[in-house]
Amino acid sequence: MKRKAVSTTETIFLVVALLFIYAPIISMAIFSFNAGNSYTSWGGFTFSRYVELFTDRELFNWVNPRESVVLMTLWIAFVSTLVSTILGTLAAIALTKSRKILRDLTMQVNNIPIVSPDIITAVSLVVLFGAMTLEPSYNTMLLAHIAFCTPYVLITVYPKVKSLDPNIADAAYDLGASPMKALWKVIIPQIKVAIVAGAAIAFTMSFDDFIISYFVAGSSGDMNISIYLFNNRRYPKLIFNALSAIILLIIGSKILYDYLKSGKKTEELE
Amino acid sequence: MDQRVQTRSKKKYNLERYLGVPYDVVMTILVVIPILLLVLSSFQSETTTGLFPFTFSFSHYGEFFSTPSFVRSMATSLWIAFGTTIVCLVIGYPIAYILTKLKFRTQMALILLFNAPMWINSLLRIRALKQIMELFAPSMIGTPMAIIIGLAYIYLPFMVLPIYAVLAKIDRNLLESSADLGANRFQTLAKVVIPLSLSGVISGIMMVFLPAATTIIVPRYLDPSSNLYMVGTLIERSIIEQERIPYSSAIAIVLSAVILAFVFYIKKLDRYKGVNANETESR
Repeated sequence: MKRKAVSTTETIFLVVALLFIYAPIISMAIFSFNAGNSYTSWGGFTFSRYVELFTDRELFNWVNPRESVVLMTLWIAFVSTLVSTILGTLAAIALTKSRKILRDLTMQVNNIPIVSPDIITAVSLVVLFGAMTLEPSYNTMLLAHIAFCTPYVLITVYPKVKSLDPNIADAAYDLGASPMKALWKVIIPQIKVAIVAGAAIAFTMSFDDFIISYFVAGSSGDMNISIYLFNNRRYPKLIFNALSAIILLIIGSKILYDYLKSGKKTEELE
Repeated sequence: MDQRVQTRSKKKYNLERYLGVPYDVVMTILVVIPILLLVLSSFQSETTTGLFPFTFSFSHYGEFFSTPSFVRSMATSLWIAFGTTIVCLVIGYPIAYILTKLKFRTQMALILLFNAPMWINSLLRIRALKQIMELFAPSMIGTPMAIIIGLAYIYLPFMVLPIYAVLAKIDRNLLESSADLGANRFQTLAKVVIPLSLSGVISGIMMVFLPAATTIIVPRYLDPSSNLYMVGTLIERSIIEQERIPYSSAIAIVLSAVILAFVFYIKKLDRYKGVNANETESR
C-alpha cells in the first residue's frame, strides 16, 4: 500500500515530542556521572555513584535482605508474579468452560482493579486489612500486589485460551491423557507465550507500584523502591540518577533487541 | 457443542471447573469484599479505629461536603485532569496519526520508543522532570502549569497507544474513496479519520483523565509547598498522617461516584464503536 510521505513539519513534531519524553531521563543518566554534589551543575566525571548505589545499606543490604529495599521489591514482585500467574492462568482455562453468566460476572469483577484508579483500590485494601487487623508490612503489600496483578494475567491469557481448538485437548483425552497431563502437556504449551506476557505485565506492575504499596504498608517502615524514592523526595540522593541510568540501559537494550528482531522478521517476509 | 460436552469424560470436565476456584476465592477476598467494606466503612463513625463494632453515621460525607476547601480539592483535581487530558490529546493524536504514515518497521520502533517510559518507575521520571524544570524554569515549580506538564509527561503514552491502535486499523481504501469523492485532506481528516478513531480517543481520554484526577506523586514533586490541594493529597493525608480510615473511605466513595459519572458520560460519546472492519468479534 502506498503511504503518504511524512512532511518536514511532522518529522520535527515527532522529534520534539521524543525530546520532551527523553530529555529529562537522559539528563538524569548524564548527571549520574557527575562528581559534583549537585543535580544542576557539572563537577567532573566519576563512576563512584554506581559503586555507592550497589553498596548502599538501605537499597542493597546483601547481609540482611529483609532490610534491603531493592531486594525486597524484587522478592515481592517475584512472589506476586508467581502467584498471580498461576491463579490467572488456571482461571482463564476454567473460564472458557464455565457458563456465560458466570463468565460475564468474572470478567466484570476482574475489570474492577484494572479500571478503578489505584487510590480507590488502595483505600479499599486499607479498610480490608484494618478489618482483618493485619498490621501494615511487606505481607499486606504482597497480598495487595496479588490482588491487582492477577486480573492483568487473566485478561492477557484468556483471549489466547479462547482461541484454542478444543478438539486438540479432546484428542489428548481420547488418547488416554489424564486431566492433569492434558493440562500440562497440551493446553499450557499452547498458551505459553500469553502466560509469559501476562507474567511480564504482573512483574512490572508490582515492581513499579507506588500508591497501593504506600497505603497498605507505608506507615510500617517496610518500603519498596517507589516508597523509598517518595520518602527521600525532598533530599534525593545522587545515587538515584545512577539507578535511573541503569533502568534506562535495560529498557534501551530491550528496544534495540526488539527492533533488530522485527527487522529480521520483515526481511524474512520480504 | 452439546455433543462435545457429552463425549467429554466427566472427570476432566470437573477438573477444568475447579481450576478457577483459587482465583475466585482470592478475588472475592481481595477485590469484592474490600469494596463492600469500603462502602460500609464510609458510614462508620470515627470513635472506633477498626471496622467493628459498627455504628452508622453520615458524618464523613457531611464533613466533606460542608468544608469548602475539600470540595475545592475535588474541583481542582477535575480541572487539572481536564487540562492534562487536553494537552495529551493535542500532542498525542498528531503523534499517533503521523506514526501510521511511516514505514512499518519505523512505526514499530517509534511506538516502542514512545511507550518505553511506561516501564520506568513514574517517581524516577517525575524526579527527572523536576530536575529539568529546576534547570530551565525554576519559577514554574508550584504552578498548576507544572502539575499539568508533569501529568502529561507521565500519561502521554496512555493517549498515544489506544489512538494509534485504532488509526492503524483504518482501511486505507476509505481515505482514497474520500479523496476520490472530492474531499480535501482536511475534510478527509475531519469526516473520516477522526470519527473512525473516536473509540481510541475515548479510551485514551479515560486512561489519562482517571489517573490524572487521582494522582498523588505529581503534586508532591512539582508543587512541594502544596499551593494546589488535590483530592489525592487529601486522601493521602487523611489516611497516612491522620489515620482516619472511615473519612478517607467516604472521600473515596465520592471520588468513585464522580469517576463513574464521567466514564458513563464519555462512553456515550462513542457513536462509532465497532465500525472499523477488524475492530471487534473477528479478532
